[in-house]
Formats: sequence, C-alpha cells, structure tokens
Amino acid sequence: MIPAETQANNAHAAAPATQRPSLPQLLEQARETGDIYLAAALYPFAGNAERRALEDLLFASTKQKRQFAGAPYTPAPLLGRLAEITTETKLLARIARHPAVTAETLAYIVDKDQSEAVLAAVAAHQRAPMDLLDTLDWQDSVAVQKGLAGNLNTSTRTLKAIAAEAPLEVLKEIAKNPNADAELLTDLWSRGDEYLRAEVAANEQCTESIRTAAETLDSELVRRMLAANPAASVEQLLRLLNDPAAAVRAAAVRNLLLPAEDLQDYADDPSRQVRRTEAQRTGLADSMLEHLAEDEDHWVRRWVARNSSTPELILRSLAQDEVAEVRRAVVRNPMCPADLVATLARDPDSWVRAGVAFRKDVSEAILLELADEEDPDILTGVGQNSAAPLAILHRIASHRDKDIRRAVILNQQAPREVVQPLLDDPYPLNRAMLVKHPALTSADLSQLADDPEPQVRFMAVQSIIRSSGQDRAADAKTRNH
Amino acid sequence: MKILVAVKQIAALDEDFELREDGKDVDPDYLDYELNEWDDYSYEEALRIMEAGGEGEVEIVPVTVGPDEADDGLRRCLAKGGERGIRIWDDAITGSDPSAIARILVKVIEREQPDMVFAGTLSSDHSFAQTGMAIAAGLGWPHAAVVNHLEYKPGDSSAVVHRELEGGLEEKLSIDLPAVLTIQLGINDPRYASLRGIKQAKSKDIEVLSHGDLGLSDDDVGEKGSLSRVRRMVIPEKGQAEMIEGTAAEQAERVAQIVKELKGAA
Amino acid sequence: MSGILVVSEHRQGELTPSSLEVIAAARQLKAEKEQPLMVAVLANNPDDYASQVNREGVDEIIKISTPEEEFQVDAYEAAINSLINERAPSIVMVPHSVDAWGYAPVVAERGKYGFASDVFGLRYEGDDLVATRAAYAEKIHMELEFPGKETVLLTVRGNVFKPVEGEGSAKVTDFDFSDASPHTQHLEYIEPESGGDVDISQAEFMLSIGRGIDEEENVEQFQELADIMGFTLGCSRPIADNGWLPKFRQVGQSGKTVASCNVYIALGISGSVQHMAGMKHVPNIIAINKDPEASIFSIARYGVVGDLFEVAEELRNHFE
Repeated sequence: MIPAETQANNAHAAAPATQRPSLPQLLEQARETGDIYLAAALYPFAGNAERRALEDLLFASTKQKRQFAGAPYTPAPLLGRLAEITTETKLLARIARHPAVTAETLAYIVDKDQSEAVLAAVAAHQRAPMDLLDTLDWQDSVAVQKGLAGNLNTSTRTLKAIAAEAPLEVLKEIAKNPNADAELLTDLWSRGDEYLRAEVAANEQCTESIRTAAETLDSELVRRMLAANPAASVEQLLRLLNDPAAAVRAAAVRNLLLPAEDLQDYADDPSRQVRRTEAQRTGLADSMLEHLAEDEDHWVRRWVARNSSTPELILRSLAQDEVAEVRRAVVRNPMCPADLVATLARDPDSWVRAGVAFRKDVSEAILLELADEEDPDILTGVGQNSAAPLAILHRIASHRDKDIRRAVILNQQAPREVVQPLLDDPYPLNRAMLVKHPALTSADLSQLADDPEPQVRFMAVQSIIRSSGQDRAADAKTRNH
Repeated sequence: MKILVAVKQIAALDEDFELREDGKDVDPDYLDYELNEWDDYSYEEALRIMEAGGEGEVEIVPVTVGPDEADDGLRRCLAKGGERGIRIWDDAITGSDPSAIARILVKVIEREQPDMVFAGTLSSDHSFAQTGMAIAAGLGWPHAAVVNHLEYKPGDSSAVVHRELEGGLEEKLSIDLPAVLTIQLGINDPRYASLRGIKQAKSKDIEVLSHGDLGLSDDDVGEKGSLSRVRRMVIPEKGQAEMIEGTAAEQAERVAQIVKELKGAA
Repeated sequence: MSGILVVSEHRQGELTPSSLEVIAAARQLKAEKEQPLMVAVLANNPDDYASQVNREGVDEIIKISTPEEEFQVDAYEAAINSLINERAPSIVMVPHSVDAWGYAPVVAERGKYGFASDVFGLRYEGDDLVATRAAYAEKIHMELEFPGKETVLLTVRGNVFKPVEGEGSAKVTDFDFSDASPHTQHLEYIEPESGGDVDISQAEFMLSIGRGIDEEENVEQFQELADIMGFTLGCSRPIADNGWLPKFRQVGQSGKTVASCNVYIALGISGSVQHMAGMKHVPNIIAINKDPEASIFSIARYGVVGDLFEVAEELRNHFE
C-alpha cells in the first residue's frame, strides 16, 4: 500500500487537469455526507489515521457492522478490521463466510473464536490454506467435518483422519475431494453405500481394481459415474458403450477419453439421450454428423448445428430446418459461413435473427438492416455489437426501453459520446453497469460518485481510485524512461 | 381533480434476524425499510392519469402513516411526479393495525377531498390486504380490490376496472366514482425516477400531521383503535429452506421426488 | 355471543373448494368448544350451493338471495353485516379469496369486529380466540388476539385445511337483508389467454437458469432438461442481456413476474434483488447453487448446495 501522503499529493496534482477528485477530497466528502458506501469503497486506500476516522462512520451501529460483514461488496481490509473489533460469534461467523476475506483474517478469527459456527465457516472457506485447515478441531462437529471434506485445500492426512470417524454424509464429500488418495478411496469403497461408491468410482484417483469392480456392479448409478471418470481406460469405456442403460452409454459418450472415431458404430443408438450426447462431441467423422443431422429428434439436429466440427455443407442443410431453434443453432455456430449468416439475417423467426445480431463478425450492412427491427433481442444484439455504426448506437442508447438501452452500456467499444447521456439513465441498474464502461472520463466517474444509488457511488469511487493508481504508474514509467 | 395514493414503508427482514425481547415483533435492529412494491404500481397508475390530463388538471398526493424515515417513501414517489406529500405520525399511533391506519387516512381524505383513492393491494411485510378496503368502509365509498386494469379519464362518473381473480381469471366491472381501488402488481410498468426528479423531490413539501391534528382521539389509534393485537411472534421451523444433502445423485433424486409430488398435486 | 358463521363462496356456477376448507376449519374450532356452526350461501338462487355445503358438522345453512347470481361486493357486505347483527356469532370465517379481499375488511370495519386475514391456525386460549398468520414473507408467524371483541371475522388461507366431506343434516333457513344499492356492475369474465407463444407469467412450473451456467453452449442442455421435465424455461437478466435466451423468458424487475408459478427451480441463480422481485412469491422455490451463501436460499423452500451441472444431469435421469 502506498503511504497516504504520497498518494494524496499525486492525486492532487492530477486533479485540475482531469477534474478527478483526489483521495483527500473523497475522504472529506465521505465524512461530510456520512456516506457509508463511499467510506467503504475508500477504506482500502486510506492511511491508518484516515481508516480510524472512516471506521467511526462505518461501524456506527451493530446493524451496519452486520451489513458490512455480509455484503458481497465489502473489501477485504474492512472485513479484517471488523473481525478485530468484534467479539460477537454471529458476526465473526458471517465474516468467515465472506468470499473476500483473507487467509490472515480467517486465521485471526479461528484464534479468537472456536465456536462451531466459526469453525464450520472457516473449514469450508476456499481461501483457508491447508496449514490452517489442518489445525481445525473437527472432532465434535459434523458441520466442520463436512466443510473440511469438501474443501480442495484440505490435506490428504486430514481427510484420512476425518474418514476414520465421520458419518456417511461426510464420507460422500471426501470421496469427491481430489486430495483423497487411492488408499483412502479404497477404504471408502469398502465401507460405502451405492451413492458413496458412485462418488468413489468417479474419482480420478481411484484404483483400477475399484474401476473393474464398479463396471460389473449392478448399479446403474455407479456405472454411470465410472463412465464419467477422467481416468477410466478406453477399453472400459468401449465396454460401457454397450451398457444396457442409456444413461451409462451417454456418460461414456461424453467422456473425452473415448476417441470420437470409436463412436462411429453407435450413431443409431436407440436412445435419443445417447444420440443427443453424441451430437455434442467434437471430432466426429463427417459421415456420422451427416447421419445425426437427419435425426428425427430435433435436439440431436440442434446439437449438430451448434457443433464446431460440423462441415459447412451440413450447416447449410440445417439452416433450412423446419425447427427455428435448429436454424438458430446454425447461426450461433462460430463456423457458420458469412453468406449463410446473411441468409439467416432474414429468417422469419426473430430469435434466429437475434442470433445474427449477436455475431461479432456480422457486416455493417446486416446490422443496419436489423437495427430497423423492433424485437428487443435483435436490438440488444445490435447495440452490443462492436461493428455497429455510431448513428445506430445513438439511437439504441436513447431507446425508451431501459433493457434495450443497456445494450450499448454493455458494448465495450461504444465511444463516450454514445454512453455519456446514460449517466442520467433513470434505471439504477443501467447506471451501475455503466460505471465499468471503459470510455468514461474522470468527470463522468465523478458524476457517478454523486449518484443517488449507493451501489453506483461505491463502484464509481473504486474506479476513480484505481484509475488514478494507473495514472501514477504511467507517470512513474514516463519518469523512469 | 385529485388522486390520493396511500403508500407505506414496509419492513424487510435481515438474515439471521432476532425477535424483540417482548416477543411481539422483530428486533428493529434487523429490519430494513423500503417502499412497498405495490405502491410503485399504484403511484404509477396515478401518474399516468395525471399526465394524460391537461396541465394542472390532475393533482396527485402521496400519503403515508409512519415515523420520520417514512419520508423516504414519499420522496421516492415525489421524485416521479406530484408536488407535495402528507405524513401522519406521533407516538400514539405505534401499534396500530391496518384498521387504525385506515381511520387516520380517512380523516386525511375527508380533508383533502380527492376524487379517487389508490392503495396497494397488500403490503409485503404483514400482508393483511386490509388498509385500502378499510378506508373505503370509513368513507362509505365504492371500492374494488386487486385491480389490474383501469380505464378512466378525469371527469368520468364511473370507471371500468379489471379485478385479478384466482387462476388467471379476471372480472371486468364498472364502478361508480369516487372510489377506493387497491392496485395489483402488473397493472402497469412502473417508471424509475429521473436523477433530476430525485434531486427535486428533496425540496418538495411534506406536511406532517398528528392524529390530534386530524381530530382523532387516542382511543381511535394504536392498539385501542385496532381490530386485533399481536400476542406474540414465533419463528417457524419451516421459515428457512430445507437443505437437501447428499451426493448430486441423492440431491437430484430428492428434487425429482419433490417435483413429481408437486406436479401430481397440481 | 356464540356460534361460528362461515360464508361460502362460488364463482361461475361452482362452489369454490376453499368454502369447504373453511367449513373444515370451523369444525375444528367447534370440536374445541361446542357451538352452532352456520354456513351462509349468497346467490340469486342459493339452493344448489345450499345442498353442496350441507356437510358433516354443519348445523344450519342460511340461504340469502342476492339481486345478482354472482359476487357483488355491496350486496355481500350488506348481507353479511345484517346477518351478523341478527345472529351475533362469535366467529365469522370466510375464504381468503380475492372476493373476500374486497368485502371482508369492509364488513369488519363497519361492525368494528375483530379481524385477521390469511389465517392458517386457530385455537382457544381459555375463552380467548388466538389466530395464527404469517408475516415477513412467511419467515415469521404472528399470533393475534382480539381483546374486547365479541365478534371476530377471519379470512382463512387456502390449501391448509382439508375440505370437509361427509353429508350433513343441517336445517336450512332463509335470511333477508335490506338490499344495498350496488356501486359496481359486473360486465364480464375474462379467461386467461392460453396457447400460442411461451408466456412465463402464465407458467405453473418453471426451471430458470442464471449466470452459473457459464457459457452460451451450456444453455441448450438446460432447455432440454426443462423440456424433458415439462417445465417452462426462464432465466435471469445476464442470460438475456448476453442474448443467450430471449427476453420474454427473463424473470424479474426488467423481465416478467412469474405470477402463476407454483414450482420454480432456480439453477445457478444467485438471487439479485431484481431477479427475486419476479419470483419471490412462488410457494415452492427449489434453489440449486454452488455457493451456500447465495441470497436465493433465503427465499427458497428447498435448497441444494452443489454443482448445478452434476445435479441437472442427475435430475434428467429421473425424467427421461
């Protein structure tokens, strides 16, 4: 973190040219208006003394403390400080569940409060490091055991210790954990019900002998999960392709270990579920795709139409399919040739035409034509399209439908003159999304920092500070050269 | 021509809320206040009538019963249109049920003499669906509840409304005016206030009255003036989601079972 | 003051099922404290309905002939108020129906009776009636009492009490009331539109997908799942904004409210305020999300924390 003074001086120097408020100005604004959202956004960037001043505002009531402990936007340093100043278990558990909380804060919380609620939250936290997880006391709590069992950072050693004592519901979590080794999985297999065995059979680490046993088990679920195992052998998958249960065959088809050419003989599988799955595989032989493209089930044809390895000729024939969703799938296929896109731009179904409007490679002429339509999905596609001409973007930006206006806000290529009027968009969500638009100037961001909507102010202030940080980095670079 | 719109700041529960010590309500520390969702629709309906009329022909006035913070709800309305609001509050009003609230609003209506009164069909916190119709009873006015379509022009002596009945059925009926209508969600597509409107609303006039100002006695409001009294509140076991545990296969099995039961029962 | 008066309701020539549920609720109270149970029938020709409400436990059926055959709010109010004046029941129970939303608060206010709406629990504490109803989006149950009220009017929640069966042997009487001049006039019923394009506001069973599905390529498998399950596919805003599904499938503030939905399966939807505005009223929300902290769980009836692709794949096998 840059010391506050340096930061302030730099930002101050830049202010007159860009009209960007400096950090001290923003801090002043937060204190004067009592705006807790502004304060929360500034907190990570403030120096120690300033942080204390902001805390008076941020933690003024227990209600606000609770709010910040749970709000998804709360920055990590604020969570850390909140953990320091509270002793309330409910609040600490809330902080420990927060996705942004740091490993340090988690360790601090465990040190401070060993209640089950806190331990269970830490045990399940993705940011909790292995050494912290290894120290957690799980003996008396299924909730803590479950948290650890499902955590990708839990060590094999801890998983084994838990497995020795835990109930079945915890074992099922452990069986899914990639840190469960072959020895542990073998143990679980021997103790498991059908569901646990299914999880073991799907785990990459399970031994070949388990896989062999799973294959002959009279459980469709276990065989299906086995067929999805990314470490299964090709021979085994080929055998599973002949399984009596369609769901097992479909799972085998989905497994990428199985070479696409081996599916050739199964193009006429009686189960539509299997054929639908086949149609999703890349690398199928043209003859097989051709066959599937004529399937009576329109879902099969849809998947073929969307398949990036489907040859042009088949796409052309599917572009004339009677089912609109099949034609739509053709136009959403990245490999759809330009002339076919142009044809489908005049498809009678508006959802097909909308699929054209969302294509990045569509010509300006087509966009001009589509821009005259009234369908909201088509206009949304045109408004988001980086190839859309300026006049059209202006028109969409002033559309009476707030959801259609949002399209240009989501268009990262839209120039400032297009998005600038939307700073006053009455729909708060549109303004909230506009904050992230790259074309906004610091003056625009300053305006949004005064927005009536807390979320907008919060994000605008973050953007202002981040962009001033980038300027400083750029300045420093220039000076060094 | 004047339309009065009764609105309300409703209380929404914070997660892991607790009850107050006397057990008769939620600890206010866990409540967040916001304008009742239905009020956006009833106010929008009034705005549309105002905008369809000539300049200055139709006045719309939002009215609420509530403490200082309830001004936020009135200003949310005024940011979209209307020049003034009315808020009634004093400590004696605490503990009023919808009937006592309606009695207060009746007095305001008698003073304001509007041609039409709108209220939300219900409010999402206590969901009594009572206030609007209780107002009609106090006034002795024609009334219709759960209105999802309104055909009316200023000056008309009657209006055509649709009531949204069970199972998607609607009843089309005509109603004599002046009338009290409770407005249902979906009757229109409520607008969002412009930033200019939000700024302007901050300086619009909100008249604050007490029950005494309206000629009501202490017995007319609060618990004494109510048709019911809260004995206690309890947190039901089923208030939280039932979490379905197990492997994905087990979870799906249970979901499928729930879905099949619910579909079968329908 | 004694006795329970139930007001039955009918529409388009059919007694509403909730009328029989309310009689069941009344019988339950009668079992706690013996008192006469009266059922009022209001129609131009109440005879048919009168025989339909003659169920076990009903002591008297009161036929009231109204000027209109169908519900008219002023007539119902005038008739019920004068019936209460004459019979002085201690409890009046009516269905929590849209019709009752219109007349019940008016009847209560005019008579200054005790009143509670949407009641699903009733009991006596000594001599005092206690009514239970929900508040704060069903997260709280509130118990109400009615101090000093000799008559209490209650609207009773539907699908709680099992409709009363078994034939009764009630005596049938007629009741006249001085007619109120009607201020509303029925013009017609408008049936819900059916068929044609997908209208999610009319769908009873919905499966909705959100940001959690990650990529456009994944949309189709959920559409397929909805298809297999016989559910209507919906989505949250980011999916429609991305052009992955048409806007008419979008649920929420900038989309539609799923007004008729009974079962709503939310897959990978975290539950923004905007989305929940369109579906939080649905009685059976099943939320499936990998994040146990997702706000959608706060309004769900059933929650599944897990990988939505795995659960969806498994789910499909139960409907294939």
